[in-house]
Amino acid sequence: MFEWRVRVVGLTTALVYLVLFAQLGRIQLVQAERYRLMAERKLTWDELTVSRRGRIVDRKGRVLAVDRPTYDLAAVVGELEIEAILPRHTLIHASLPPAERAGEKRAAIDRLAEEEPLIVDIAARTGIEPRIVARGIYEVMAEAARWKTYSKEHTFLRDVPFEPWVRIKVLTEPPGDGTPQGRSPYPGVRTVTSVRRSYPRGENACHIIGTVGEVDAADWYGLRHAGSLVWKGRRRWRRWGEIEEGLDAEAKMELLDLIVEELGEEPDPKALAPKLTGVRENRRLGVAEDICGARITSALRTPSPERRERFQQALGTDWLEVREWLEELDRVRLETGERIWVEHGRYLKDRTIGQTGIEAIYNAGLRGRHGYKLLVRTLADPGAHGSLEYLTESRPRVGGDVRLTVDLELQTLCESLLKESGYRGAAVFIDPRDGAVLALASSPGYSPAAFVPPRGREASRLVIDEGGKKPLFFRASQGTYPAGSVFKPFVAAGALQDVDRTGLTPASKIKCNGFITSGPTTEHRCEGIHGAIAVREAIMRSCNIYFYEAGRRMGPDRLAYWAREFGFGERTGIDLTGEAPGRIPDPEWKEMAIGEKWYLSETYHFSIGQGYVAVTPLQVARGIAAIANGGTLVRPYLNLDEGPSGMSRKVGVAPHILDVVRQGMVKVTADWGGTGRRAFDDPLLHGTASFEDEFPGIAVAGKSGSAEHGRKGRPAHAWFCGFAPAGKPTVAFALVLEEAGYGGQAAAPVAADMLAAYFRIFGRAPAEGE
Amino acid sequence: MSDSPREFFRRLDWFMVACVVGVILFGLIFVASAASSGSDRFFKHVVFVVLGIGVMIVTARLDYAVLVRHGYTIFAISIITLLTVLLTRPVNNATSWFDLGIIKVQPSEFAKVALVLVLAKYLSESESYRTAGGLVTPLLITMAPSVLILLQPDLGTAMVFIPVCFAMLYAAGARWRHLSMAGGVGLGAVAFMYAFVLHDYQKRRIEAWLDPTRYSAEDAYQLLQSRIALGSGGLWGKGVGCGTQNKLGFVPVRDSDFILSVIGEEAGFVGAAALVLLFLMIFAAGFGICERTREPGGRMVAVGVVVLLATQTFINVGVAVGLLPTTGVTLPFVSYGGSSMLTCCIAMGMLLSVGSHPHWVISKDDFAA
Repeated sequence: MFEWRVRVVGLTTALVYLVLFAQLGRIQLVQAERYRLMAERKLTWDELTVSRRGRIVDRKGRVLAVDRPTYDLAAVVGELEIEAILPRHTLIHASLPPAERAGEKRAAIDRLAEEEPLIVDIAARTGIEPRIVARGIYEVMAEAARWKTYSKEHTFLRDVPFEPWVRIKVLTEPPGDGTPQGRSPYPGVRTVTSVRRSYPRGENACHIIGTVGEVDAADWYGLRHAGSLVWKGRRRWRRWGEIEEGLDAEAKMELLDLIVEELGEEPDPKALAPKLTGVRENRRLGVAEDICGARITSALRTPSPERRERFQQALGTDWLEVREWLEELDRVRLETGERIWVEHGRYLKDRTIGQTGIEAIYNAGLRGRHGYKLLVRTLADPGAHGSLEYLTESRPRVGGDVRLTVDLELQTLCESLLKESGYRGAAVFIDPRDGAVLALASSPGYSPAAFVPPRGREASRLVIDEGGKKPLFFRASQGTYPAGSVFKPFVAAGALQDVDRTGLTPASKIKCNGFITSGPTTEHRCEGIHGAIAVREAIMRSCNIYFYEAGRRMGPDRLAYWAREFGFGERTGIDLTGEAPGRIPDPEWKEMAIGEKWYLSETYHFSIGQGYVAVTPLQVARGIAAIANGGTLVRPYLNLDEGPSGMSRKVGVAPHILDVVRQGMVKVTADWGGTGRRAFDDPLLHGTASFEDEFPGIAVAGKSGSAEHGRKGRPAHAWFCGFAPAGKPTVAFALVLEEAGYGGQAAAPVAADMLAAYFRIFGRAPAEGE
Repeated sequence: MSDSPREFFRRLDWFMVACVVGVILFGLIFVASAASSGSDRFFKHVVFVVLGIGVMIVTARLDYAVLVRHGYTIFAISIITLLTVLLTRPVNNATSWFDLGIIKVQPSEFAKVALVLVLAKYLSESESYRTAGGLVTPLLITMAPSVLILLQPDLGTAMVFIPVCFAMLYAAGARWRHLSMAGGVGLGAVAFMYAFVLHDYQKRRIEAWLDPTRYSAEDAYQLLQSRIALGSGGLWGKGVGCGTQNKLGFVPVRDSDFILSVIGEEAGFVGAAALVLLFLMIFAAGFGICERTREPGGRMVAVGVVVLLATQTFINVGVAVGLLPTTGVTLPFVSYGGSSMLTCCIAMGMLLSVGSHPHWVISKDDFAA
């Protein structure tokens, strides 16, 4: 029956078409909303235009740090025609134990490197390790997979809301022939133009410049909620906890009230954490802490003036600390363009911010502003994916340069002399008239380039401090040392000023027998037996007995008073990160910190800069500058354009007393028997003539120091500090060499060489101020 | 032996003609929407529609029996052109057409009509299909153009031939068990081809279709874009010319292979379903013609044409909604493309001719099973 058979065929057709209708209905009616959202998300787009960071130059315009264009070979993962995009199960899930996770990852990367034809091909043509290529691609894909889980949506790599490209290799030159460029011959593998920090002078001034780093993933949540970029979100919350803990109950309540007033509710991560959907359990609390930290920060940073006043009252002296903390946060606040970028859910990957040193302090000025383009696809010209119309655009603003007060030539010389000496140490040269830092060297140094993203192994090697030399440690401003005899000029100034208490005038003599006792069995020795000695000679010969006696007459409180008067025990306020305040002890401090009362022997130690005294080379140079310039304690500064801050103050020592101290210090280098005499009389380390022969008529005031430290059997830290020319000082300096022995023997010759370099570079009388 | 025009008009299946005109109108509207502005594709489409309607009228007026009579000749010419296109094209150039200057002719499209005609001729003259061995000849006839087209390579078009062949054999009266046997052998052959013949990109397409989340590469991306277009259209659509997926070029080959996605996006479920319903009405009318026709050659031509169009439509829509892997089969009467349009019009003309030329020849056996 033909008709019957035709009906069977017809019926089959109808049944098959029923399936079509069902599927059509499922997509267009049941899942319509989901696909509508996906279609709409494609319609707007934004792009970040990366700005160039400002340069860091020395006082004569020599470049220390600059952004250079780079042409990175990158894999744009969304465009890769990859054979086997990783099956989802091979991507890492946070639920796996770390060891297993690492193993899975390694296995997946190996598999990609060996089996994925595209990766093998890229590797073969570019000569890059297949594993390196595979790792890069894997990481971006893993990130995309994580995002997929987060958004719970069927997302393709090209739709993920962050830049899905990975740097395969850093090229500093535009790629020549044979290197893939543009979209061919491998789609998805191309050169990406960006900028990267580079340091033309290598390790020169590395500690001053500091480092730059990537804005990391942890910052991201904080960014979205506060609109401000914070260093480490988690750290901020903890820091807040510390500050809060330090407050008394009343101030704490007052502060919390204010925050509640400002925010509308009391921030509490534990209460917030359960509300965070889409964040995996173990990350929740952390994210909540970020958000709370960000909210507190914004509440504290932008209160109305009268509320700010109340904050200040509530916090008392802690306000200073909070303010400092807030200023730190302000440095990395987002610019408008970047905030839009962030609010649009883009990931700030590979955007550098300053993390230490000048890069961090002046980050806001240096970084300029990223530009952005907000684009919308229009239907006007249906070309490939439509034409993009700019809704708004803001051009990137190139970052401003920072001109340092540092003279690169002097800086380089100081660094190489330190290195040559073979000791770890630091050298500081400042202008005593206004505090301009001329050189700030620390040895050993490091190459800041190691920290520029993408960070390599070198950076982690530096951070974990292989070899224990602490190259990242800026000894000039962060290193705290016992002061030793370089403390004596300050004690002398204080003792002479406190004449009604000590009875010491410039002419008063104290008899040195070579030792003094502070108890039945405790003896304090001098380096020699100096007989009856007055202050100038005591400084020249560095007689301990004179200062023991002077210190005993002053008492520890007055010693501490004068030390603080000369700026010890507090940060100098130099524009650098992580400056150490050092320590000036007194009986009250000892009672609190150690829980013991003060002994006479400790007064003796104190008076020669030993015991609990801890100072930084920068503090010493600044104190010396105060003696040199007639009693003005300046704030050292590094930014030439910003100039001195005006935060200087007068020390309460009469000019004629400082004059006496200066005379004593001149004798150190000028008179036979002075501890620094030989260094200025003997030929310079780099030269045939002695300092005195090369620069006749330049009198140098100096003071050596040999600071005993806790480590038994090791030589003392060698100090030498001073200023020149003694009559009209233009430079004050301090030098410390760790465990190098006697200051007069180890440090003074190096200092003489550095000083000679200073006069060769600046001439006898620098133009300014003379 | 053509009728007078009046007789022809009286006998013409006007319902089917109306449905075809409706489908062509759909095509005109959405090719206009999908074709890039500034390109002459819409203009060309209009030209093909006019030509196609002309060809359809001519073919319908023509006695299909004449065509069936020359079935072998037409088939031979088709095979020769397929061979020529395969052998004369430049190396590494996967073209499947002759460039005649004004239009590009795709022999694979015309091979569909040729296959229907040759099978109709063979099955109306021979009775060997009642035996298992007798299936070999019609299957080989089908295999010849299929393999040549597969070598082009064009999997989608080749896939259309198989249901046509089987439906015609079944309608002619071949036995179930023989057909199942042939089908089994065919599946074996497919497995063999998958292992040894198919190109990597073809395999990948199939795999991408089987598991789109695993293959987030280009093919699955296209499938997803098509689905987004359809889904975002919703019930009523975004309006003609307002589809973002269409206008922004996210929908791949949007004026031919994926034109249904454009229709679904801009006219919604209502529009897409209406179009598919129109097609179903054409097929229903076509099966009606089959039933009415008593002449063996005419029956076979009608079955062949209806199944050909139904298969092609099903594959095209199936790809757009994600039921089938991406192939590259056009939507009859709707998609842009001269060869496709002309072939469909010739086929439709043949069907109309069968409907309007009742040859009252009683077959010897009435095709009884």
